[in-house]
Amino acid sequence: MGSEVVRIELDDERSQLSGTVFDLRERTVDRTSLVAAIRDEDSPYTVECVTPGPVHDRVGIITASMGLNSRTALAAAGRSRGLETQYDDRIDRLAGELDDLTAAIDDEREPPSGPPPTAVARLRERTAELRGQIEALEATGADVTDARARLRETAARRSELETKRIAAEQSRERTRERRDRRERRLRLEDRLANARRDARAALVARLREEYARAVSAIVPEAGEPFEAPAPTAALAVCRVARIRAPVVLAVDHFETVEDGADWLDAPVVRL
Amino acid sequence: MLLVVTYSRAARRTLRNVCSAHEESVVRQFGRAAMFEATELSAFHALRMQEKHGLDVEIDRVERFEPASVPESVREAATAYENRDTPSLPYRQFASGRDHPDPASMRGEPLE
Repeated sequence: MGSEVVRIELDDERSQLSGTVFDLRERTVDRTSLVAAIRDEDSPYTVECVTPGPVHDRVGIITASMGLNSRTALAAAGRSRGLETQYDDRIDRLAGELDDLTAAIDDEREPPSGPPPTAVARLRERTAELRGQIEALEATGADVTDARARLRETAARRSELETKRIAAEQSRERTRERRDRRERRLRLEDRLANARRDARAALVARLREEYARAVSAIVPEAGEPFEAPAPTAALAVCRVARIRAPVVLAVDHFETVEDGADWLDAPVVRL
Repeated sequence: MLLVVTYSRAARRTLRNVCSAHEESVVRQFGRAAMFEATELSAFHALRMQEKHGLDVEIDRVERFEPASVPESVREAATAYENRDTPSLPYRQFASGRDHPDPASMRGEPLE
């Protein structure tokens, strides 16, 4: 196999290191900065290497106190080797649909609410009342000028409220449409998550034996391999995976760093 | 009561967390929705969720359903129809031969 050459430049000295196996235990190296440099994030160090993939995110740095979901990591290891599953077409299709739908989703919020329905109803009643009064006054031949003015005013207020009510209803309708799209998105996301879960399970089933052998090579008396301590599980996943970016080792499991790099078949930095 | 419906995985997660942390306010929880007692505290939780997730959280106020608020003719029709002798008989036909309200008239009648 043979790993690609990795170049490391630390901040404290101008010397550049290069190779596939690095034992930096004698030096003061900040682990976080080193990992950031490997992942091409902001860092005082520079590391030239193959861009790490998803499996490196999970097992690329192995410490005594790490946590790990070993099944998910093992599935990622399978992907790093280019393994495919019967669910992949479905995953691609759902992910595509989800992207399209997400592009059509906006977060615009409508003005909160219109006038309370009771306000409109009250004005409607008031208008009818005033009309009744005017008719009654006219029947007696009395002056209806004031009553008419009141009616006009009430009617104007009522029509203003009605307009606001209709606008509020339309805005509710638009909000409902926005939520309909969100509902479809949620359903798609759930289906996609299920398909991804199925794919992970298929990958795990396929690699289970290989992984169990790797675990028992590290800890011969190991029981259920998925219940192995996280650093052990991570080393086993690393061995199963095809990793070309450097693995940062902060645990003692190998006689020499070279042994570790050979067994993992990956570039290794021992801190 | 307050009905809170969520429209994203993140909002649904938040709702589940809120429900388990504040069981005393929860009347009923259904997957991605939940009903809370109509208190200021429930409104506070609901508004917090909406602040966090925007349109992915819908808040509505709902009332308890009282069968007594439904006209007797409608309640009787429901009972009679569910106890009909011919299971395949559509309601419209069932109602026309008897003294039950037809669907069109019920559709236009808002509940009290």
